[in-house]
Amino acid sequence: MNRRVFFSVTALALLGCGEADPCERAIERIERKSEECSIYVDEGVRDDIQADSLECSAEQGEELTRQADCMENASCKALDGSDTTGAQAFAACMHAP
Amino acid sequence: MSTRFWQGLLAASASLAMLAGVACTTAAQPELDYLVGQIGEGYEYANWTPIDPRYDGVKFDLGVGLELKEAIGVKLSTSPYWRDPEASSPTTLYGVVAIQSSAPDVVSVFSASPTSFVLLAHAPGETTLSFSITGYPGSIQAPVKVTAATDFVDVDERQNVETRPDAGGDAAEGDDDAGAGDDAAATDAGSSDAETGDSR
Repeated sequence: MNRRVFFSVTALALLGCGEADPCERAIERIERKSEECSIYVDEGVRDDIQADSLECSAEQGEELTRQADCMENASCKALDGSDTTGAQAFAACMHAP
Repeated sequence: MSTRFWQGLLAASASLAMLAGVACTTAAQPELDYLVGQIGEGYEYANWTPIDPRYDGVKFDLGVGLELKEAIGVKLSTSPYWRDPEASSPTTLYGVVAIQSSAPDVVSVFSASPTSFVLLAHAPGETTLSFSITGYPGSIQAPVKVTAATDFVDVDERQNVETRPDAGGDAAEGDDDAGAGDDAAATDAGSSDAETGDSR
C-alpha cells in the first residue's frame, strides 16, 4: 500500500511541473506565428518568469488557445494591418464569445 | 522492505510534491489590463482625458474612452500594459492588438498596423471598442461617444475660450489661438467628407 502511494505521489510531483499546460502550448503557437510574420514579440515578460511556473486557469487556457487558432488561421497581411478585411475577420475571431 | 522504510520514502515524496506545487504556481499569468491610447491624425476632432496633463496631455487611458466628431476619421495608436503585482510600474506587452466596434454604424474600425487603427465616426451615438492582444488573456472596453458635427467642441478650443480675458461673447468668433483645424471642426461641418478623406 505504502509503496503504491509513494510511486503515485512521486510521479505527480515530478511530472506536474514539467508538463506543458494549455497556456504554454498556446503561447508557443502564437510566438511561432508571430515569428513567421515578423511581428515583434518581446519575450522578456515571460523570460523573467519560468513559463511553467505561471498559473493557467481553464478560462485563460481557453482564451489563449482561441487566440492561437485565430492567429494560425489569419494571413500575415491580416495581422500587420495591410489587409483590412482580413484584419477585421481576425478581430472578430479574437473577440468571439 | 520494512513498513518504516516505505513510510519514510512516502513522507519524502509528499514533501517533494508540496515543494513542486509551490514552485509550479507562484506567478500570475501576464494579462492585458491597461491600454494607453494616443490620437495622431485627426486629433483636433477628438476629445479625451489625459492620464497626466502636466506631463503628457496626448496620452489617455482607453478604458476611460473618448469623444469623436461626427463624420471624421482619426488614427489611434495603442500601448498595452500588464500591471505586474510584483513590479512598481506597468510592463509593456508586445503582440497584435485586435479591435472590434459594438456599433460599426456609429464607429467603424480598421487596423493600420499591429497596434494602430483608423476609427471612422459615421453618425452620432455611442459604441464600445473592444481591444485584446495576442499572447495575453484579458480585454479592454473603451466607450466612444460620437457627437454631431454642429455640437462638437474641441476641448482645447473650449479651454482657450474660457481663459480668454474677453470670453463671454461668441465662443468661436476670432478665436485664432484654437488653430485652423479647430475652427474647421467647430464651424464647417459641411467639409466633413473631405476631413475623413484626409485622415485615412
